[in-house]
Amino acid sequence: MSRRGWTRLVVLVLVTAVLASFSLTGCSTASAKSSFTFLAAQYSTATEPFLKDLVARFEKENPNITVNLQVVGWDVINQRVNTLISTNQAPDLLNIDLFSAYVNDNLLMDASKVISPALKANIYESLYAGNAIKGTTYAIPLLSSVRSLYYNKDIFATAGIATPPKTWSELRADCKLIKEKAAVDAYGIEMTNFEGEAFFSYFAFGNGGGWKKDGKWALNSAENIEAFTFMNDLVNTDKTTNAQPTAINRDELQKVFAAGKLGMMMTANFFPTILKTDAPNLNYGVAPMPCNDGKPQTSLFVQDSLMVFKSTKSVPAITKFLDFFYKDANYQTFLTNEGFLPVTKTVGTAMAASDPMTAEFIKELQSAQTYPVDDTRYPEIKFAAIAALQKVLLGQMSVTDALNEVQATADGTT
Amino acid sequence: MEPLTRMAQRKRRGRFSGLSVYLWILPSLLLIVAIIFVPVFELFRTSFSEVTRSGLVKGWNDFQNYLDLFREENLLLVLRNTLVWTVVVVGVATVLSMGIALLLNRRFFGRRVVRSVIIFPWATSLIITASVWKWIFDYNYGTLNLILKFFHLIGANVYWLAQPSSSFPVLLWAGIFDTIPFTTIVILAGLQSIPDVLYESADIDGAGGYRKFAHITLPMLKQPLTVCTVLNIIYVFNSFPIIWTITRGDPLNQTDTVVTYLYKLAFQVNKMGQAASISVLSFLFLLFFSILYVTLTQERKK
Repeated sequence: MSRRGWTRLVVLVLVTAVLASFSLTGCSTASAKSSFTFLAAQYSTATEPFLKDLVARFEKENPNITVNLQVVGWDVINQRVNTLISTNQAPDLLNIDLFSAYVNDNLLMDASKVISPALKANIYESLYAGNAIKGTTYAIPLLSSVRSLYYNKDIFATAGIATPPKTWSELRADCKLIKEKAAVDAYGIEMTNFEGEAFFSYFAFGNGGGWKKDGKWALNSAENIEAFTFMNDLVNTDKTTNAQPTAINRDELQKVFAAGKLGMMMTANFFPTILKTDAPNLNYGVAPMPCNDGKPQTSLFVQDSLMVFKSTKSVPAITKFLDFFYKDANYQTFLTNEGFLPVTKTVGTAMAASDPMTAEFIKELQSAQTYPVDDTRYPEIKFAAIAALQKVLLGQMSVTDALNEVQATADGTT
Repeated sequence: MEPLTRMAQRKRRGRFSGLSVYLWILPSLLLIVAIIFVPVFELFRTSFSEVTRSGLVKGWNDFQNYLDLFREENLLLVLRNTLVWTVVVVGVATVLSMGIALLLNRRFFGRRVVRSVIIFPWATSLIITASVWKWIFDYNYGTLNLILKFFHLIGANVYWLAQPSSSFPVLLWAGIFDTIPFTTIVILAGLQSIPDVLYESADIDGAGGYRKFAHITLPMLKQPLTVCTVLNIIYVFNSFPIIWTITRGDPLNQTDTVVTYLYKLAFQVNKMGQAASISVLSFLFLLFFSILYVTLTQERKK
């Protein structure tokens, strides 16, 4: 036989062997194995390696369970889930932020039917109950983040400011000082579709306002009007913020802060993790969010959750996987990688004890509020609210008119 | 030789006559049905159905998606933007490409290099070119601001991408820049197929440069120009990455075109039905141009 002939024979044998092994495993797995799909959101470049390793270790411990892991970026995850649902291929386990639309279509399982009693007891009650829609919790909290004020200590020193502002009047005065003496933008605001809703919340919550009051949309409340008049004053009267809040997103703003060209900005507690690699020498501090004079201190928190779709056939396997995922060692590694705050009591205590900054974040979390995520119309109202504030900031509409307009949208009277 | 080949052809045609012809094209036909007709059918069905925010299709809803769509306050703005976007990008790109093609049709040192370089923006992914433009025009770090400041043409950084009055021209320029390569190549190919004899006899008749261009070059380029214009209209109308990368159609939908707008409807506010209905309208628009393209190219063959 020629040399080429031999090669062919070897390839043929190998291919046959591979095919045979496929069919063999196919036979052996069919009987006892259970499997489920886990669609996870990608928080950072560390997410996928961590989850892959987690799944591999879980499968090793539970040889009869297969986890089909898919990690998807935040920019496409909604699109992916919607497509999967409309083609009857909903994932078994999903990690995402907003879920009321799925509840509305009766697609999610009552979380208490999946979660083990031990795990449920370990999750902060307020967070678990916070995910309830009409009394039932459909999504298990996975992680949270809280927003604080990040300020550049060197810029504050140049401007002669000793402590970070606690009230809005202090904030306004400090902004003027920074702009005047340090000649940089004092305060970072974004009002784009990227995360304008966070800045809506900062200002509304800080004045005792918000998205809803007594379960009804209250976008044009007196508190909100006062809050956004204050925001507009900072941007358009004092001109102490970045010049065009409608043209820069939070991530881009964070880069300006990291470059030492912004006095302060509000962002989430994962920011220190980013700064550690992007700007290790930046001299910055973290403080609770300043609120309007005389209003209680509050902040914004955001929570992501895990949920199980009713179409699943592997509830026991998912229960096991959840116990494994939330196991202190695994769970704490995940949170430290991503810079998020824990939802379980044991890891909460451990992380607070090991890092004073995390302890401060967990404390701020207690008084923080979040988006009206239990309302299916929230995504729509969110973009309407951002558009309204863009009109205000671009000088096309007064604060009152813009908020009345978005309220009318929410009431369905337009 | 001639009759023999014809006979051979007839013989071959005979062998593949009747049903067997369809059998041979069946695989590609199935593929076309699966990846073109099924999605289009689904699109039409979705546009006439109520779709929940999580993506469940609930069934016929009396044209409600279309009615809602026509009530959207931004629709007119978006349609106007789409018109300006398509006409300006295709128009300016064609004129510029014509000039570049004429230049490249002459003999000069390094022509080959220039001809290959011209393809670069086309060969690069649109998202990459768009990101590069975004960085060039960035307010904080943009190279354009840096250069203008270096030459003291501006005192402070300019926020190019904040207002549609400056961001839309940036988008148009990025669009034009990316449309030029294809258009140039098509026109250049057309130019090379014009026989030199025509110009030689025009020289003898004493025609000047302009008359040669207007009476020989342009008429001879009619076919390639129509083809690339129709194709460009389809490409540019459908172009998503440039606008999405640079401005996301914002602020306030002021730089949205139909394609970015329908993406927002579908995946930001989860109004899949409305998004499908605007897709149907743009599908019909593009279908018209596709038919036009096919008719024009068929004519050419005759």
